[in-house]
Amino acid sequence: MYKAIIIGGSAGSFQVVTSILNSLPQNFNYTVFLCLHRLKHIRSGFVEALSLRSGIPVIEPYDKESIKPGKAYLAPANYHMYIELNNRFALSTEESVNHSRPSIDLTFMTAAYAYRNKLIGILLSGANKDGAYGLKKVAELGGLTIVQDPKECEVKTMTESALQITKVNYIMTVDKIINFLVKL
Amino acid sequence: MEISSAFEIGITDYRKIINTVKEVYGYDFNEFALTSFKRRIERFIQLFGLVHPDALIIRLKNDISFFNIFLKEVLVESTEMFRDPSFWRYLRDELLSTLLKESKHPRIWFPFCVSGDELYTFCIVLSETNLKDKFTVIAHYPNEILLESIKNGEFKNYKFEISKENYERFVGKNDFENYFIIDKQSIKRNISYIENVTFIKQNVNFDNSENEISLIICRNRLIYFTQTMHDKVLKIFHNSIQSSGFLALGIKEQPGLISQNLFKPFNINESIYKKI
Repeated sequence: MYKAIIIGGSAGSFQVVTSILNSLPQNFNYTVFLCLHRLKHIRSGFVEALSLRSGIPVIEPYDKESIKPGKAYLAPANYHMYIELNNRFALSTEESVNHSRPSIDLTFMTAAYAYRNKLIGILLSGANKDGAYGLKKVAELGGLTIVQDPKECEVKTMTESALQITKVNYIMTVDKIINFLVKL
Repeated sequence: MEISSAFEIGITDYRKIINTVKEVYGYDFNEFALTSFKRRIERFIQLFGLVHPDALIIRLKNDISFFNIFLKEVLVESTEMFRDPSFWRYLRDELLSTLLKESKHPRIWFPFCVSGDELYTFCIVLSETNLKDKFTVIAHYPNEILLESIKNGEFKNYKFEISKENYERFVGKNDFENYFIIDKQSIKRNISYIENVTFIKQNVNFDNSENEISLIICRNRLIYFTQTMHDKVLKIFHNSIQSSGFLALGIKEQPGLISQNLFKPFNINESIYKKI
């Protein structure tokens, strides 16, 4: 019944995201959106690093690119990444939100509107509250919400901010998140 | 001011606002990309403490100077100067001389100037390469308030540090500070760099054209348009460029399917296309 998974994280999330991507089977038929805080001026290397052993292709989408299942889309450096209602991406260079561009809140909010109860939102380790409001929006619009267990997070600001404002469906360790996703 | 993402307006109110603007002033925002333009309006409502969309509609209807401020604020400005330093390095080291081979006096067009960051960046590059007299620079602007702020050298101070870092990666000839007039209260740009620029006002449909252009620099502007408008503008660009001229788009923009027979990739890494 789910169509898409959206994952947000910043400090301490890189290893977690690679473990998740590396565990996905090649026939994984959901769309994965990744919004991770990253350096604004370094535009290459990140997607390549995530792709190395990923089960599914990892792509930095172009503006207006259409969204397909079985692919992971990484928000590009120095752009906000929106999911439009017409099943396409829209990029934006608007002001930073929570000191971040890409902002996790913005990608999560737009995905929540586009996918509603067909969306799984996952928030990982991070040093900033960006993402907390976005995950709340996923919950409000009927999506399933998961937060990485703060005890396991390298930096727990992001997950704890989310838990303060949203009653999430699951608090899981990375192993449990991976187990959950591969069994979808 | 950090704008809260938590303030949202509904689609009905959104449509009411853009239809009001169209009825009263003729400006047509129907072909602006939904998510970003809705966010711009939400941001504007918060910025002016208007609380409710209806309050915005009433002020827009009755106050043309307020509309001009609205127009200034809803258009997204670029994030910094010398964004993507490698693009500007390529332009300086390769593209400018290519343009001079094709044309004695190349015409450069900035179709959608909002903050002037890209325009000033380009003019600084021209100055550092001593090519100022060889190029004609044409900048189209949306309204007088924005034109004034470009001509007065206004610059959002929060962009200074990132722009300076970019300039250092660009490996320019000077200290970045030399391009500004810096005092305790503010940082302003040195306006002498744009003294030869020709400014032309944008029309209400944002579809101005030009002619005999050697290079269009339109990076991260078409991302705010719908696909329909995007394709329409690319056709206008195609007609405005001289044969074998160039188009520079943002790093994560591409002409798209419909325009594949209009432009071909020239430098994919820096998102530069050549007219077919």
